Amino acid sequence: MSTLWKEFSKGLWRDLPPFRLVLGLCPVLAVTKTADNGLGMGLAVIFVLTLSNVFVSLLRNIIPSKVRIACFIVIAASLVVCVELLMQAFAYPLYQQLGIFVPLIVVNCIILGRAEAFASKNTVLMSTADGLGLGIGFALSLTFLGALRETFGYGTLFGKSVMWSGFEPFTFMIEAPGAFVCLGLVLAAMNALTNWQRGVKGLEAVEGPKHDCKACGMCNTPLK
Amino acid sequence: MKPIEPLLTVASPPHVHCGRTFKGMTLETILALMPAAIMAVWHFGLPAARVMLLSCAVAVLTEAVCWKAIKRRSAVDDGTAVLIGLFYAFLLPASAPWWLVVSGAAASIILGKMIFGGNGGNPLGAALVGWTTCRISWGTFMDPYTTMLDSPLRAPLHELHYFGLQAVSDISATNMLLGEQIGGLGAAQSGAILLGGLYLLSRRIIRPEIPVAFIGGIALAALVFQLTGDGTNASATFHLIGGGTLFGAFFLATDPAPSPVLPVPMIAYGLMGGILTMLIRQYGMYPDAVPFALLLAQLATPLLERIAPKPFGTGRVKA
Amino acid sequence: MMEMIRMVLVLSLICGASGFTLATIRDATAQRVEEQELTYVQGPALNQIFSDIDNNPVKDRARIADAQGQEHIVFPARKDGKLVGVAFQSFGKGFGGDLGIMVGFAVDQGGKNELAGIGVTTMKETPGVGTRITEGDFRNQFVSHPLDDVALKSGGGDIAAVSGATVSSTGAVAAVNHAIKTFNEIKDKIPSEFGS
Repeated sequence: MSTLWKEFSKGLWRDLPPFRLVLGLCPVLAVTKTADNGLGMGLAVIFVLTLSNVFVSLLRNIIPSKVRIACFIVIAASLVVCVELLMQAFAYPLYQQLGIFVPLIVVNCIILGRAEAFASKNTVLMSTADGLGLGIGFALSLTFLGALRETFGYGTLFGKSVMWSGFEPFTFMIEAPGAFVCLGLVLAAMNALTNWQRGVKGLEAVEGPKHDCKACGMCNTPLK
Repeated sequence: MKPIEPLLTVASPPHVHCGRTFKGMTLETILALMPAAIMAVWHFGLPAARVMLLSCAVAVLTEAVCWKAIKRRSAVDDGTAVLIGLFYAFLLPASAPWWLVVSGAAASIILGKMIFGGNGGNPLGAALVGWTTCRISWGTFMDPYTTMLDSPLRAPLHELHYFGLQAVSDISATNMLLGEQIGGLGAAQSGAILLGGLYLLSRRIIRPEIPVAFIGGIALAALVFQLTGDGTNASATFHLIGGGTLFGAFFLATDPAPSPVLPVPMIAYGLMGGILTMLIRQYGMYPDAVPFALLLAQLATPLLERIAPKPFGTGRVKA
Repeated sequence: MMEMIRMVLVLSLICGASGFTLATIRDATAQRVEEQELTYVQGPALNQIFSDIDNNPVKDRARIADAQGQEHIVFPARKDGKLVGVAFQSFGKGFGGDLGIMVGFAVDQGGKNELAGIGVTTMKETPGVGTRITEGDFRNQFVSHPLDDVALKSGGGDIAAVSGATVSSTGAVAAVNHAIKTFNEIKDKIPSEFGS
């Protein structure tokens, strides 16, 4: 039971997909203009990720290793088309908003990454916990980023006005550059938080890459 | 920061060792901006002084807080924060509301400079980053023309953009040189900026390649448009002294960190900035396109810097 | 050799199973998807045309073939159980590709019909110029307009084009005229389809 909980909870903080693993950034940047969109996309990913983990885990002993990638992709693609159809049938406005990014879940690194790295080596129960945990982590991250950008970019949260009346929307946040800047700031905050936590525990801080000649490569001097 | 070896001090560039300090260069640049600042207050009154002072104060304060937050020895006393605050204020209309000045100056320092680790690390002009952030977000407040409609002054580049050459034929070059035009509050003081730029050149704080190439690029593109067009394009002189062109050439483009360091890349960078400015003015939606053009040119800097002589002795060794 | 056969077999089986599942889901949701699509794409245009009705035109829609045998999805509008109008989509040539116009017809009891109004469903017109055909100033000119002589003022009619957007306005008028032609072909079938 404790390992099951461990596999589930790692997706919520330790391996939080977009902010820790830095995977699946395409939807993270593209659909988080509003909290609503982030949540919708997140729910779709939870569905696909959990079920793809379940199926891959179920079939892990049947799938020959040479064609495993193709099999994983077929499974993920079927699930995504499934989500797309269901979304069209039951949440059409969300489908209009998310547009091309729903089909693009197929090529989201997290899906294939978890299938290859976890589900193809673990039991169904473990894989379900892993998929569910990472999926929920992904959905929460997207909603959080969407809420952040919506609050400043539109002055609303889930469509409800939250800022003072004279607020001039900070449009930069909902434009493409704002997405990159916002993601970068969140990543920086996550790292600062980790180092602070390590400091509390008495551990040494994790250092970033050093600024030496190798890291830069701006001049034409060949490296030794 | 403790010296790693007793003889050599490790510090961020530029490594100029001729008795001249980075701080001194910054202060001289600020001094070179003073004529334009005084002219701005002369033309726009106290609101201009308010914008400049607020912007500088916020920039310095933000930088001090940033150094504190990243737990490094503060370098806020080198004066670059004041310079960036002044650059940003020079691009604003005098009518800018306080929150616009505050957020833009803070964005310039945080997103433009401190995120990359302070001086020398920034790949783009810090004030340009702050300006762009605000221009995207609050376009109507940032546009000098729409916010200062009740001013008796004219806005040459805007009127050229919206109403054509006929509408601006009565604006004389003298007026524009004296800064009697609407634009960024300091950037539009063409004459005073030219004076400051020449001072910087004579003191060898900036190299002549970039400003000359930038001005050359503008003049060249304007000439091409004038010769090939149907007589509705303004002359090169008009484009040079209208709006913030000279400010871009002498001050924004020569920012040491984001501009190239070798002569040929410098000229390419200047030309690129100038020609892009004219292309945006001609075909784009921004009447005074200097900041955007310079940002694009600065993005190309790492590529331009590859045009460099081979280091001695690193050629392919013959077997 | 065995491994090869196994690879082919497993991959085909997985693909087959996935295809079968998807086909089933598609079949099961097809009707709902079509309804949702019509509600969110055509619904807003229908609401612009018929404001005072008490049925759901998307739900009550029917397919009616015109003289050329081409089928049109026709949306009926009812009030107090009585048919007051029908609407269907028609296309005209806009500035940026096809211009989809929902054209509404008021079905009068005395045998005299007139336009009930128009609504724009799909378009790629220039924002701020061509897109102004969606505004009331342009659309309201079609309300209660007789079915003949629908033309721009420049073409001898009484519809004022949106200034600066002649192409979009012409496209809209062409779409309306095309719809009127179709309406005249199918109007006899309407009572049998929707009652009166």
